Amino acid sequence: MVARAPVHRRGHVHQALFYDSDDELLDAVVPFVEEGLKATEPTLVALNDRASDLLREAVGHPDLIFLGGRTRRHDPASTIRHHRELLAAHVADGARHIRVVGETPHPGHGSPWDWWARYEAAINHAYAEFPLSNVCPYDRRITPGAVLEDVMRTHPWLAADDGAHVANAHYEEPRRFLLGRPVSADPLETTSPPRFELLDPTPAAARRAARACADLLPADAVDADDVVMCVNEAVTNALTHGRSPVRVRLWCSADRLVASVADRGAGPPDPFVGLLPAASRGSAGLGLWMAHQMCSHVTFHRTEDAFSIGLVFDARDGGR
Amino acid sequence: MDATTTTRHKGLLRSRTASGDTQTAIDTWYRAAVERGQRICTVGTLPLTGTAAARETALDPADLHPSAEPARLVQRALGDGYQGLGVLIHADEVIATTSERFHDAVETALTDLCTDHPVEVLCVYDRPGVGTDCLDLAVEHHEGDLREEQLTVRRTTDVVHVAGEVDMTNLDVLDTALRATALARGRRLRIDLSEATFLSAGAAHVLHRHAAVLRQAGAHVELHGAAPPVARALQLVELSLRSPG
Repeated sequence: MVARAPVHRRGHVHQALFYDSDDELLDAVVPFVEEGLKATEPTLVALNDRASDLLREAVGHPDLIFLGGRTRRHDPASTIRHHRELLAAHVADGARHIRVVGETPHPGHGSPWDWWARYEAAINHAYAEFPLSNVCPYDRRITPGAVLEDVMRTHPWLAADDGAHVANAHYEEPRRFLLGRPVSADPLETTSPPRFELLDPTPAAARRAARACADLLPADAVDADDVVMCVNEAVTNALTHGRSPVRVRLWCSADRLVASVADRGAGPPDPFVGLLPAASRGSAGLGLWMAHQMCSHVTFHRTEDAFSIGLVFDARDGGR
Repeated sequence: MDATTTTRHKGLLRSRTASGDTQTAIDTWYRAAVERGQRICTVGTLPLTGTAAARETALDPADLHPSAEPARLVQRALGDGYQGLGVLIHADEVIATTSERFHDAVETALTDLCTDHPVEVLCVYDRPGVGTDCLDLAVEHHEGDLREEQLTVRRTTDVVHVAGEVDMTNLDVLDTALRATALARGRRLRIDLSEATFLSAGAAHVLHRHAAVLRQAGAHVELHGAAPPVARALQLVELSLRSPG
């Protein structure tokens, strides 16, 4: 399986690559990367440490750029912001084609999936303006089936066995994918009653409950100010754009805080809400975009007559 | 007009759904005026839950119109042995019985009274009510001290002081105050956020938007003293403005 950059194609070519062994990964990625390096195209790699080492050893080219540290993918909103800046900088430097091999976090890496599923759909729009061949490798040995299904629905191209890339018949238009996506509840929601429950609260009352809930966790487990801000923004959106009743529930355990803000409306009409910098998208987008950068995970749950936002704060990584 | 004068003419935006904090503010003002030995004059009916130590004098809005020379009210109070005048006025009732324009003239007269005489004024604007419908008026006439349940905005020549919490319920107050500032100020402005305890994303956006307008007009604008959570909101909003999606 070899991932090739499509020829004579402008814009973002977003391909999924499925592999079952290290050899399969290298067989596909090494030629893709070497082609780019040979053509002096900016060639960037964002993989886990082990896969990065394998690729570094196999390619051994000083111009191959490994993204790590600060540019590692923490959350989809800041990843999109960083990547857009990075891609724009390469284009400004004269790049006519850019190659990226980028791994998206999922439960196989210990990361939540919903917001990364939305990321995979949203970048078809968010990176569309860039001359980018973007290969997203998924290790079938550790990738859950539900994730593989979402990957099939969010990548317009697939790396094919014969060495080419082929159009993916299962690809869905991002708007359709994003607006029709059910999400399962956080385990904390289903295993315990909420510590706080409010109906049609003022934003101030919701903030007080959020702080009180954060204060139930061990000191510094989560950033209480972030919890307050994110709950405020979700409640503001529900009160402003949603339909009554607005229901706020807060759960917590020793190392986790979950907030759910639900209303009877259809949810934000913007399918990319929360993922893209949102100054031009009105205040609804702005607050949710901030929440995506403060939370450990943000989920959107849309049904026919209700919308809810799940905000998750994990203590393990200091609340983000 | 110095800061002391303008803070003697206070505005209070009273939320009808409020938790009682604005009522406390009325009671506190009332007690302080009584303790100062001022004659209390009221325009409109405002419930006072504190113990009334002095008899209130009910005034008609026309008594405070510049044409009625309201300074005479002060002279009379001083002649009767009071230390000055404390005026408690319900803007909604004034506007309902007169007009916005009339109330505007009354507010101007009250500012003049505070400037030249021992007078303290508290103007109560209801929200919803004239505190939302005529917010420009409330902001314009109480630049030294305008209170809302969660927020206080105090403006002097080169500082806008924002204290408390700004969210969707009072964003219009901050927005209107900053717009009035943008119209009236010179080349240097400090927006003091040292007592701001919460800014929603919308509030941070409004601050950046007004700061940008002022800067485009050539002013030097400084957002000063923001505590970490407030600074974080401002920083994220700034990032979103720099890289619009």
